[in-house]
Amino acid sequence: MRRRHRDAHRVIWLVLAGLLPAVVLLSLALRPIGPTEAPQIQLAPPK
Amino acid sequence: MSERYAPVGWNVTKIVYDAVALAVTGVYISVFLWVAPSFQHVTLPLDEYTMRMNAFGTCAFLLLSVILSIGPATRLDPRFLPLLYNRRHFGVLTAAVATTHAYAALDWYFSYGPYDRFEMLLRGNTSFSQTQGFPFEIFGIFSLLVLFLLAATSHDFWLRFLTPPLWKALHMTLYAAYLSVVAHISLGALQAAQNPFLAVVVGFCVVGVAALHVAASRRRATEAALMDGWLDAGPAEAIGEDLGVVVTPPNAESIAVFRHAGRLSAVTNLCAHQNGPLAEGRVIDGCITCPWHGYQYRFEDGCAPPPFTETLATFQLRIVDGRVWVDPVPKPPSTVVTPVPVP
Ligand code: FES
Repeated sequence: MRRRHRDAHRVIWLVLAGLLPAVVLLSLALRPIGPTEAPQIQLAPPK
Repeated sequence: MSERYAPVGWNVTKIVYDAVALAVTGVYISVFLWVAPSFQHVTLPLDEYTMRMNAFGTCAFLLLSVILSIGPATRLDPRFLPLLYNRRHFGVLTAAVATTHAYAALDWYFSYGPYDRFEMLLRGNTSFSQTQGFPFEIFGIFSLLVLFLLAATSHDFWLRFLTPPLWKALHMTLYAAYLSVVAHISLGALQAAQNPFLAVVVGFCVVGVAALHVAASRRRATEAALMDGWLDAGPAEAIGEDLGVVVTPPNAESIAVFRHAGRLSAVTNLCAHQNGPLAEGRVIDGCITCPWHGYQYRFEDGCAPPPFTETLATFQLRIVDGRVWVDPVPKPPSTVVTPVPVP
């Protein structure tokens, strides 16, 4: 791998190493309390 | 200047690679669609479209995570090299799986709006200022477009036409696509998920891929010591027969030093095809063979054996008191440098 390409690579992944988990954690933190989709209810035990 | 198109050159390894990738993907999707639901005890099962969306969506994300892990994994441990061999076909498969996911979503959510499905997708939701209900589809569309572009330009024809530096830069947009996919999942499926399973899987992949890249970039070859402007490549007997070692001059590209038939020779470590790391390759038919796609070069002049025309820069060597020294000034590609016998 070319030196310049390798250096660019390293910087990009250092940034992504912070950014990727931050996106997941932030979106989880901002999540509304409780599910937003209809639950898959089970009204009675299967017969 | 014009480029000649040559069809994909198939060989047994490529066919086996593709067959395994297709089989694993097929099994994952089949289990998701037809086996897993039978273990679910719910009175309101998910509809067929949502299941398809989930199956192909999660599959595309996992494939993308694997693709992005292959490069750093091989740099950390050469046993992963076989995975690198046909990575481009893997990418094309991922684009196809992601398209199926998008198509299921389009059918399920946008079929009955007042406008055309594609128009609905783009202008149906404009709540850009809130996380809940954010039009996360936009991130998915961006990633899908990047995957398409990369799949379409994955053939060697485009590599030659665009030149390797431009092609590499173009294919680095995959990192942006991955970030965008993570945003797509985080603002979409994760917001609605009822159990933490998806969050755990996404978190694991994201941390794993990033950690592999950071670890691989830290393990760089240390720059070699200089004597009279020549580089120390270590003791001659430390280089095994038919193996290569890397020497990195200060502020220059690395050099691969090989031992073959008891003699040492040096060429640039960058393969003329796509800058693959030649020192990690093997010797096949008396030629240095690139570990990535198998391009071959002769030891003495760095030329590919006829009818091929690729050439590499060569370097002069000398052995003093059992240590190997390399002249870091490259000879023009295809210059003959007589290999040095190991005493
Ligand atoms: S990089 Fe493709 S054969 Fe070397």
